[in-house]
Amino acid sequence: MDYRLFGRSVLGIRLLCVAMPLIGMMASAQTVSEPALKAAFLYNFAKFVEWPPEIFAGASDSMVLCTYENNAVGDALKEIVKGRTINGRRLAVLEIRNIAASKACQMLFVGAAAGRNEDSILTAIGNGSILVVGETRGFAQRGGAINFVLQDDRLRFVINLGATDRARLKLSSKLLSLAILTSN
Amino acid sequence: MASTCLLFLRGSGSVCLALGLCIPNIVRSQPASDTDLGNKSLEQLMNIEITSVLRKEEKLSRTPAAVYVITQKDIQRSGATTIPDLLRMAPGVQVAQVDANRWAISVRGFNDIYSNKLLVLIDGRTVYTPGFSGVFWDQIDVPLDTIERIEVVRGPGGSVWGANAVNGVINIITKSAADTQGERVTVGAGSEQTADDEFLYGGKAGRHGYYRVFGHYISFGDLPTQQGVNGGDGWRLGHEGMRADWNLSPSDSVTVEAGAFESWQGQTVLMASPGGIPAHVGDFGGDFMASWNHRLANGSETTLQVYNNTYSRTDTGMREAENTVDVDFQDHLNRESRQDIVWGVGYRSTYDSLTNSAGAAMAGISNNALGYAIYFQPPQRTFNLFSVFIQDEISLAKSLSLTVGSKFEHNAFTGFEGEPSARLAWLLDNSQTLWIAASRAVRQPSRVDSDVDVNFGPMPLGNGSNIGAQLLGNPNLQSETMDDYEAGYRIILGKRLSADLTAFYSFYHNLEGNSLMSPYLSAQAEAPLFVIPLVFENRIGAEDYGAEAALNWNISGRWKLRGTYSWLKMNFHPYASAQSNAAALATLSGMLGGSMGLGSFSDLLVSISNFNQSATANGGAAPENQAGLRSYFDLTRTISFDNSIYYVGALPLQYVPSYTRLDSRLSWKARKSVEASVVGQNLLSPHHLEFGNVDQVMGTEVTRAVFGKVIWSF
Repeated sequence: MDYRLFGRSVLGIRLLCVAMPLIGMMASAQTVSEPALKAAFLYNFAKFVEWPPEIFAGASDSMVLCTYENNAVGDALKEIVKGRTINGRRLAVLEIRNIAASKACQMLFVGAAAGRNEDSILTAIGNGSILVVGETRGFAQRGGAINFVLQDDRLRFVINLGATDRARLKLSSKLLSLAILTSN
Repeated sequence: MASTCLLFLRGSGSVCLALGLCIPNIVRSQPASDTDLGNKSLEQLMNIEITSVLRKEEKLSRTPAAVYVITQKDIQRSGATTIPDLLRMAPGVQVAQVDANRWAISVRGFNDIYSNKLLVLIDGRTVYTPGFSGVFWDQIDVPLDTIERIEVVRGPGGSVWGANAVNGVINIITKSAADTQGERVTVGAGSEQTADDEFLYGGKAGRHGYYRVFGHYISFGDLPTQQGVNGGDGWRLGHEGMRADWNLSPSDSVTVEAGAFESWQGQTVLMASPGGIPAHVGDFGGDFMASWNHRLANGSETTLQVYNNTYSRTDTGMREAENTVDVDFQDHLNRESRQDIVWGVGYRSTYDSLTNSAGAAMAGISNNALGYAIYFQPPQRTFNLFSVFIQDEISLAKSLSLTVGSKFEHNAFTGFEGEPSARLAWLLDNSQTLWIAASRAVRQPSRVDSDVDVNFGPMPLGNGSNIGAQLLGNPNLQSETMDDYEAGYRIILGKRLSADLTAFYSFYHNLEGNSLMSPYLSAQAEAPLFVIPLVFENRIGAEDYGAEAALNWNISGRWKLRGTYSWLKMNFHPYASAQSNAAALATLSGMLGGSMGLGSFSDLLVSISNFNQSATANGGAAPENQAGLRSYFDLTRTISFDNSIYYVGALPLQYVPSYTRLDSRLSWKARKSVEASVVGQNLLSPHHLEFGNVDQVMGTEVTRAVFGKVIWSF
């Protein structure tokens, strides 16, 4: 091996050391993690969706927002709903592990980790009045009601009008105006 | 899953899918303030940028290789309209526009329009030309809005990618058809680029599939030569293509891509007369690729990919037809143990037909006018490449992992080749990674190195006899090899700043050069004809060392800076055993009787001796210093103002001075469905030279230009 290698490597390392102090300055501003942002969206979805009245047994029943296979979103959602109500209903967050438990939910967020189970979840829910929100590509096309998509590092959502119709959910015009619409 | 990225796992890119967000957005997540988010309206939420570190982003920052990712956002905001111009963004990459339709692009030196140590892929499909193992950039069209990201790996990638991934790998990864649904019409025009028109339609293909089809037309006007004369180098290209993606089951996906293009490039050929004569390149071709990916929940993955590239090109007196068929299989075993193994096998068959006369006539020039004639012996040839590779990533400790692997290939020119590498990554903490690597890569000879036969002249010697030269390929060439040592450091500083630093030292062996042989008297010519043969030989060694830095600084939600710097030194030394061309030339002069008008011919010989080797002959043809700074600024929610400035050092051996270029872009998203933008290119000077003449085709200068574009999405 050429002995010069060592000399040049040392030079290279010295260059790194010169460059490092340049990176001293830092700026700070509010940043938001993806799970927290998704949770905030979910809370907003609940505000702008009207469920068929018969699914709540009583006027004081809590609204149940469920998450499946994404605890980070569930944890963030728990923080957000603390002390908040929608139409006078208190909000409960439930992390479900078994899809049969989704019967208690008004909203179900299906995490990407559900993977191959997504389709069976959608089949299991069928036409139930549950707002099903997913985060994998093509979730709305496969029958989900709302699908998070990332555009330019910002969060957007696709609404599948076919699915919300079948679930007998009424969506506010405001929600629809902000969404990317599809019908499957 | 292990830190699998481009360099370590081949395939159409599904594994790396989320890496596009990687480097430019490496900022730590901030779990606080979740409750505040509940007070924000949906509109406000939609304007918040996600700055979390996804697991896959972290993976890239921990990859023990020099990787730079050009994202779709970078592409949009650069205002660039061609892939070569996009590559200016990456550190360590040399991009020089030679004329309106040709570029010299390389990584870490050896730059030429025939750069032959770089591997370029589109969705895992190799697009280099088997004829000389370089890339015809004027044949590579990918509509820029369908690109998801471009991964640029500096340094050797031979242990996975095989021969020709010597000093870099560029992988252009296109968007899934699911991400380009709907209709999109783009109309662009400008002072130098006269058209950039695209129609794209994306729809559903069955219940679980998507497709897109597109048509793309680009056209460029002529550029001026250094003397201010029209270079006659305008360029037009039309390209139709499609991509479809199906999720056959939750664990199986299939991707199919196909395309066809036709292109016409003007040029001025110098050899025959000082002013040059107008000619053109004509080419057309197509490609097809299908891949099947089977993925298990535990992260194991199997991929099978087949592709076919075919094209025909008529260029400076030669007609070239190429057809490549390639099959690759790859298996990634993820056993949730300390070892993560990827292995694969591949087969590639290339058929070519390289003929001279008919093609030259088609390009509007005869061999006599050109002053030289190119032949290949044999004119048609089929060659096969077999390869296997295996790579193992071993977790030595919680923060230390070692990746070892090698590719083994059998090629038609040099037989068996091995390309081992070892890489060690040390995660100092969550925000810092230190890595070192040692690798060997080879560049196998290509068809031109082995089989070319170029006849120059004859020119009269003044005593009734003539002199000519003959450049001969050498079937006994060995592969060029490179032993490379790299070290890198990445750091994420706070929430908005990240830096990536790399240093490398490479030793090249057996580089090719042309050797002058003893002249002989041709038996076939009517008048006495002395022929001076030149033969390709492995006759040069080189050292190549340097450093590269990339810095991302997101100053605020609306202002982002991207900086790069590259430093490169190259030393060449012909082997002592190699014949000195200068000495041979002197001997020759003596033999022929020095007084006999050899002067202009010896100049020609020097020029011939650079044929196909100009990168080596020109000291690597890469600037010692390069720097770039890009600024993305959102003036309002709908208006953005972006600037890119690049400094490129001089190329003294080609008489190209240093230059600084500035591109500015103003864009306005008028409505959800309409975006208009205007770009000023090369704003700092009326025109500048980026490269010299190559292989007797006149180079031209890049001019100041303006370009406007409107995009409608439905």
